[in-house]
Amino acid sequence: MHESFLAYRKFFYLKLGLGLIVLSIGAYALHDPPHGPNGGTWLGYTLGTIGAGLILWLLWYGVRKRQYHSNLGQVSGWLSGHVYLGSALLVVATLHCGFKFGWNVHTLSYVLMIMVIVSGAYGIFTYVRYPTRLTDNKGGMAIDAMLKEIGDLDGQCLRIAAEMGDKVHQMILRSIERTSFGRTPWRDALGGVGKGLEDLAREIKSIAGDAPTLAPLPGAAAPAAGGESTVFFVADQFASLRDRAKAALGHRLLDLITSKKALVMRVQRDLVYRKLLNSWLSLHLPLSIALLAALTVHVVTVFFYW
Amino acid sequence: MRCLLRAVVRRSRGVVSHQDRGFEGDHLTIGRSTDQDLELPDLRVALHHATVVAAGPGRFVIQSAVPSGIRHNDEPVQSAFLAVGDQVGIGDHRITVRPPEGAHDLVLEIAQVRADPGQEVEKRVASASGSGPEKSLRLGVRGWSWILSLTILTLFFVVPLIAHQSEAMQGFLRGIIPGVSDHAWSTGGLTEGHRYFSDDCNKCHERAFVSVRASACAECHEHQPHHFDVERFKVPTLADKQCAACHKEHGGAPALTRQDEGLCLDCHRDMKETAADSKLLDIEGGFAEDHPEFRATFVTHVEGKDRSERIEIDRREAPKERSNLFFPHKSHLDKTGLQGPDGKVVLDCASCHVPEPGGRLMAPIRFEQHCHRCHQLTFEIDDPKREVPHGHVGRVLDGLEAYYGLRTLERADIDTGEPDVLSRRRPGQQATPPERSEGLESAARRARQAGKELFEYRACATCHQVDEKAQSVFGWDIVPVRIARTWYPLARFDHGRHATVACADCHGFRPADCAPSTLPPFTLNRGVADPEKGAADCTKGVADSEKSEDVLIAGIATCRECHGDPGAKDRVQSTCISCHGFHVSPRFAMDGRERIQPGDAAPPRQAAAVPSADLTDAPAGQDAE
Repeated sequence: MHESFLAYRKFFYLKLGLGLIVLSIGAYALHDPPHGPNGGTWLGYTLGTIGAGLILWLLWYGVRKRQYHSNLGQVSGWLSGHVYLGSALLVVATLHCGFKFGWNVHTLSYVLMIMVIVSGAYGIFTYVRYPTRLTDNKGGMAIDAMLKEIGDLDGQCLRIAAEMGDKVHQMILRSIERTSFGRTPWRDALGGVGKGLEDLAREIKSIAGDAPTLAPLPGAAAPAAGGESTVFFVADQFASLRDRAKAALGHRLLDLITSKKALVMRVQRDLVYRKLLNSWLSLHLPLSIALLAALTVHVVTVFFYW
Repeated sequence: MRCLLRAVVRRSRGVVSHQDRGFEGDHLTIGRSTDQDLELPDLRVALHHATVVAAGPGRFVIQSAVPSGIRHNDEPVQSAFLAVGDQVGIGDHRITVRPPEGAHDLVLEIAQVRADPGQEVEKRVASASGSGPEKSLRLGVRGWSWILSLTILTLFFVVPLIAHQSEAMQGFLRGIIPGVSDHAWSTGGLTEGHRYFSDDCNKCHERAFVSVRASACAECHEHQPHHFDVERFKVPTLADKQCAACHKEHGGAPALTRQDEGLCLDCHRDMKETAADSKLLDIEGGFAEDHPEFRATFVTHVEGKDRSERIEIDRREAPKERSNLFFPHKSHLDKTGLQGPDGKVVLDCASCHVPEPGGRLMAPIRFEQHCHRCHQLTFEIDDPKREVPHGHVGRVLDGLEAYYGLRTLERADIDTGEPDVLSRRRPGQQATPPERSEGLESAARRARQAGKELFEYRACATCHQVDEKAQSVFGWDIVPVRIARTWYPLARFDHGRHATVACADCHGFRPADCAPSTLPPFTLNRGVADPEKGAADCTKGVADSEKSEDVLIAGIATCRECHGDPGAKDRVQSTCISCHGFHVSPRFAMDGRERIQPGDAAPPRQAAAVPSADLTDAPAGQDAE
């Protein structure tokens, strides 16, 4: 039976983390240093040492994860500890500094730590949420197969459109050309969510026929110039068709476009989920390493100007 | 335009051949239809898809004729300028611009890229998901990690550390970009008094990895008084203490001085343990409950001797002060008024007691300023403007002798009962030496007579204790007045900060027949009947004091009306150092050496010196004054 890393050994690390939080808060509440709580009291040094130790151990998870022949326990156990003790670190470090913040390298370390913890928490959220969605979205179909099918559908559409005349053909060409899995820096930064979905929505709307504000196409000879949708256009074509065979072609074309739309959406969603699953790490990891640097500076400078 | 169209034909076994075709015309049309100048047989090409036109000598533009557009160097566009090396994708055809050859100013190489339609889509997906070829151009996780951590290390550690070695660079960084100097290491702001040098970390942090030494503090605080007489008391916990052990900087708040009671109670909880021969009382805890009753310091008369003592204000036998001054507050504060030289005067506390500059203590009472208007030191009834000087017995007698001598010699008509030797002479006749000597003797007798009257019955004796059998050459002496300047010299009481409290709330006395009470003798709501405070009702106000021996000060219960422990919600939160100082030794500095005190003279006449036998150490100079 699969056991989630969150429930590892009956929530052992959750209990450990909660214990650490309770101990820290208790000690902080009882502690009444003469100059107010800060990192320089005995409790401040104690919590600081625990916090620094925790940070080093949490960072070591990255090493342990890559050691396939380690005897230091299961990776899922490490991950469980990483999550719960990392969350406890939030309390330990905050009490360590006694809520004293400033524009200095010490608070920089604190802020970096908060960012690492928050990005990690988002990571847990994605790990809990997206894998099932990813699987559901694929519906047992491989992405490669979906892409191949999109390509096939494009080919079929073009063949039918060519039979229906150049105007229809141009419309379908445009539709294919605009089937975008997009790349813009902004979309990259957002993990392909923002613009990609927007484009897709526009595309789908344009196919479904409720997007009256498409940009005018420069130099376009197509009848759709000014923003008419592919579907409207195809429907218009039906009206003028006397030939039943051609009308059948039009129906076939619409069917193909509809299937393609569904497939494109699934590919796009797959892309988004995969990007979401990975993107938090590209924040979490560099910030962790930056935290290590800031923590080193913090510890050394505190004793440098003791 | 003259154009060369070169079709690339792939034959079997990878053999490639070219088919060249010339074209001349205004524009080159491209499309799937057979009437196009360049025919591309592919369903993904429109019948008329694009047109190439000349845009000037050697410049050509390709324009799409359909909304789906063309791909110019893999970018979807509607039109583009063509340069040598450019690739234009239309459907599955790739048109490459080659360098001009001979008479042809545009050479286009047309090749069909036989791609699986799915692959085309897949390529676009790959580039969208970030696994495409451009990924190598972006910073990966590793790159960002390096950049961030190296930036932090450089800006906040390496640069400040290098600057630490060079004063000029240090100054530059601190002045221009403090965020990248050692200022970035500061954990918080400095207290007000230290801000003026807060730019220079090394003022205090003299050496790396060594905590701030007392020597750095001594740059300014060289003669900071010690806590006690280091010769008499050996307290190991305070020996060789660094200033920083108690005084923490960078707290960002005015918390440089320790406010907690623990600092004091550690030693003062059990004084026998701390310093066996100290006479200070133990204090168990906070002010509200555990502080012992106040002990007022004043001169008292014990076993025939005057002695400065600290006496519990609540002891059964009401304390009596031996100030050697006769001053009944009662008659002076008569509400109906006193007969003054210019008519009736009603006095109140402020008529005589005014704060000294700074407002902390009351200024001493001066005869000339406060008493003289009514208490004139006249001695000759027919010369009512003439007075003896105040404050010095010898000068009084000298003055009297000189006055009467002069008057005798001037033959002033004064009836003293003495035979007037000189007035028996005829006018114009010089007095003989015997006559003159007789006259002066007579004057001296009269002066002595007047002096006796002044010292023993009138002016002086009104207020002063006069020693009539003094061993001095003058025959009389005024016993020094020793009014307590402050009743509680070991505490810092600031009258200025209590300006809203009426004098009568703290000043009053307990007559001999009034038993001591733990309840406040004087309350902020004087006159309001409070049955609980009935026990203290036998206390009297200053206006009822008939003798100057009454000790006119309240005990701790009155202070507790307003002052409570730290954390008290309905009281002023007061800790030890709210009233007491730590650095109070008048003799020794924190480094154990004797302090250099330029103005360290004998205490003034009025002062009731704190009995040294009763204290570990005399209080700071200003309190003992």
